[in-house]
Amino acid sequence: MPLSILLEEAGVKPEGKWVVADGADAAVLIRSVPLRKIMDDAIVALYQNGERLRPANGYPMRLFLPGWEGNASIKWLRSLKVTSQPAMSKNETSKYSDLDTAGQAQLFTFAMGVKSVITSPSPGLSLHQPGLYQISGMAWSGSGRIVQVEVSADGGQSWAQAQLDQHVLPKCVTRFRAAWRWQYLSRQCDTGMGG
Amino acid sequence: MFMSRWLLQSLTVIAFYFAGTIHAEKEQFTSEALLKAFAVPELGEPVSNEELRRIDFTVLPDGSGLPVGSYWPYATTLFDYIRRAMPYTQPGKLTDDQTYALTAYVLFVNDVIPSTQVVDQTSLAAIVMPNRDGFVWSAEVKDLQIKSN
Repeated sequence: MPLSILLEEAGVKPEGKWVVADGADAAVLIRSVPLRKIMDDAIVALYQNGERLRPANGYPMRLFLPGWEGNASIKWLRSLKVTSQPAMSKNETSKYSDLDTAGQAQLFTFAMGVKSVITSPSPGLSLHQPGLYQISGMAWSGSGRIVQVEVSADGGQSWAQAQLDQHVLPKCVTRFRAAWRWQYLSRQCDTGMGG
Repeated sequence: MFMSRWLLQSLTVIAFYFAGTIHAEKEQFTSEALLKAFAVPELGEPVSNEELRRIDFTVLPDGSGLPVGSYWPYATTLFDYIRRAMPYTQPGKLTDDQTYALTAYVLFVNDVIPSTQVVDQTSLAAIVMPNRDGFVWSAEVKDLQIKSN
């Protein structure tokens, strides 16, 4: 259920700029979310993958903020309050603020930043001999649709462009693939590739 | 470093040990009573006052720790968190007075307030944390705020 529908139904006063959400876990986790994000794409989720949310995922309902760090998507959602200021809760001030080297900290940390992971080859997979292999993984931009992914097989000295699977979406991990010719055997390769 | 992290994460056990020292004369409980009520043996022994004093409460160079006294912008955050999440095994079981006492205790060991200061609804909101001006809005927040105006 888009939260914008619920808030439009309830009515938001002009001074409302933030939405403070808290959950029914032991710590009653609380985060403040700018109203703009809530009206833009936030949902209250009751289902996941065609079934009711599981207890560990926040049953009966959770906040879901696409593209943001998971902790902000409050599980076991029990209340939403529209406020003029953020709550300045423990986690959002002491954990999800970014301290720079000059000693100043930025409030708050929201978007999940750029990330990627190679899923194949991976530890546990045996590569028995040099040859042609497919490197595959998932990439996340943190700021919209991914344009390109590059892969390095030599510790960053050279890079090759990977192919992206279809359906590259702005707030979804994107699968990439690249061909890789393993040309030599060495102790390091044996260890690194689990062979 | 280990000690300071442990202190933040299990505020409870340590704090209860000394909670009565702040304004015991005003409260109906003692540190011993609190320990008995909320003791969690598997979480370990409370540290001594001397051990607490040796903890470096400054922000660590790698940004870890982020202690109350030198990092947190608002004292009221402490009251809110203790009331929500403490004690560790029985969150939400503290009375308002106990919560104020624990808040005072943590502010005291962080050298924010003297041991004689009574912390209540009015005085807590008036406390200016040392790092109050150490925070700025992130680009993300600015962007979302500008869009909403």
